[in-house]
This record gives sequence, structure tokens and C-alpha cells, in this order.
Amino acid sequence: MKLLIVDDSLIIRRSIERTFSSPAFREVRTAGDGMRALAEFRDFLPDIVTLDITMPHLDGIATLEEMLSIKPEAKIMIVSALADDATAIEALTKGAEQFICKPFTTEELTQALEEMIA
Amino acid sequence: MTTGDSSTLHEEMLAVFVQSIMKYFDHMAGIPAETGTPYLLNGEAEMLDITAVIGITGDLKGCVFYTAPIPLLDDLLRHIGEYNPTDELRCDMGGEVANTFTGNARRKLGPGFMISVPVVFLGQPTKLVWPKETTRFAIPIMWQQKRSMLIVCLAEASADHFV
Repeated sequence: MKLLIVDDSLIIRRSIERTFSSPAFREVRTAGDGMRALAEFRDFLPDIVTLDITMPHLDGIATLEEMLSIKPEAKIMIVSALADDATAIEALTKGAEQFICKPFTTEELTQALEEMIA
Repeated sequence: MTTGDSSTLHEEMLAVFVQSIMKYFDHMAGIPAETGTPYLLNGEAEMLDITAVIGITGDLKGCVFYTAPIPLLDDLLRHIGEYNPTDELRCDMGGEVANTFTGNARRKLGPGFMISVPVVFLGQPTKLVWPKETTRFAIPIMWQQKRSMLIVCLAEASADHFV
């Protein structure tokens, strides 16, 4: 499987990368904003994406829609501090498989990943 | 959230931020924080080593500052597995804390409470321009015997702001 981690925070990208460190992922890439994320997505067509919402240049919801138009079978997990129900519902309605609210624990992240790839 | 009466607005809004602060430290590090009584900030605020600013638009307008000392940010970095802190990582941590406090506040304030990406600065600003027509409140935070502060400068969206 191929994994793309998208967040404007370096420490969050590194934290997710450590949590998902597994031989199951044969290629892992990261991006710090929505535009860069789409470039990476088109280039290596990942199977799994973790995606922040509040980011420079292009927000996570618009990025999510564009990614799914390119590869509808990609599984996308939103990882965001935006804790309101309306945002979670919008993301899930538009095709996200999971919505994880920051701050997260490694256990929450791992469980969400396992549910996504089950 | 009730609007209209400004003192009720401030009281409810501050309670929302206090909840976000408590949840953050407890959930992320498993060590609860203590918040002091929020107070009205007239004049300048003391900025600590690293300060992150989040702009607010939508139903409310203004900004939220989180200011923290380096030792506190280093503790938080260790909790997420970063054992070799640098100023870049500390600034990122400060921005992420501010982003999480304000983003989590949407649980009560709703999607009309729109937040920007954080802007982070290291050290003391030469000049800080506060949004005008906003009321500024400081929420003192103690965690692991280290003091940081959240400063909430908000007004209802109809007010003009920024000088």
C-alpha cells in the first residue's frame, strides 16, 4: 500500500508517519498544503491518505474532493482540529472514510486505520 | 451559543476555550492542566518565548494568541515523540496548540467560527497591533509547573476591526 500524509504541521506529519510506520506501506510521502498534496497524489496515486482541513493554498475539503475525482477508491482519513459536527458530516458526505479529531492518540489513529483497511 | 448580551457572549466563549485547553493537555499528554480565572486585558500582554496567532472570521472576528515558554513546548514535543527539539519544531508545536484550541472551540461555536492557519513568532514582537473593537481576555494556563497563556480577542462580526 502507498500512504500520503497531508498536514501543514511538520510535527503532525512526523507523528502520523511514526504511528503508521509499517512494512505494509511500501511508499510513504508527505505534503504540507493542499496544492502540494494534489501534486503528490497525481504522481503516485496513494491507497491511503491522512488529510488535515485547515491548510494554506487549498483546504482539506477541496483537496478531498479533487483526490476522489482522480482515484475514487482511495481511502481518506481526515485528521483535523475542527471539532464541529457540521464539518465532520461534510467531510464524510464528500467521501472521507474516517474523521479523527485532534488532539489524537496513537491508539485512535491506529484503530481508525485498521477500520479503513479492514 | 447565545449572542446579543456581550457579557454573556464573553462568559460562554471563555468557557468554551477553557474546555478546549483542558481537553488538549489531558487527551494529548494524559496530564491535566489548570486554568486560572480569565481576566480582562487592558494594555499590553506579556508575550513568552513563542507565540502563535490564529485569525478568526465568520460569526466572530478577531484573533486568538497562544504564548508559551520553550521548556513547556519541549515537554509537549517529547509527549509526541520529538526528543531533539529545535526552534522550528517548537514554533510548529506552538502553532499546533493554538490551532487545536481554536479548532476544538468549534464544537460549541459552530462552523461559522472560521479559523486561519497559525502565524508563529519567536521572541518578543517589536509592535503588536490588537484588533480594534474587540475585547481581550487572557486565560492563564499551568501545566507541569509551567505557565502559558491564551489570549482571546474577539467581537461579533458586525464590529469593524483592525486599525
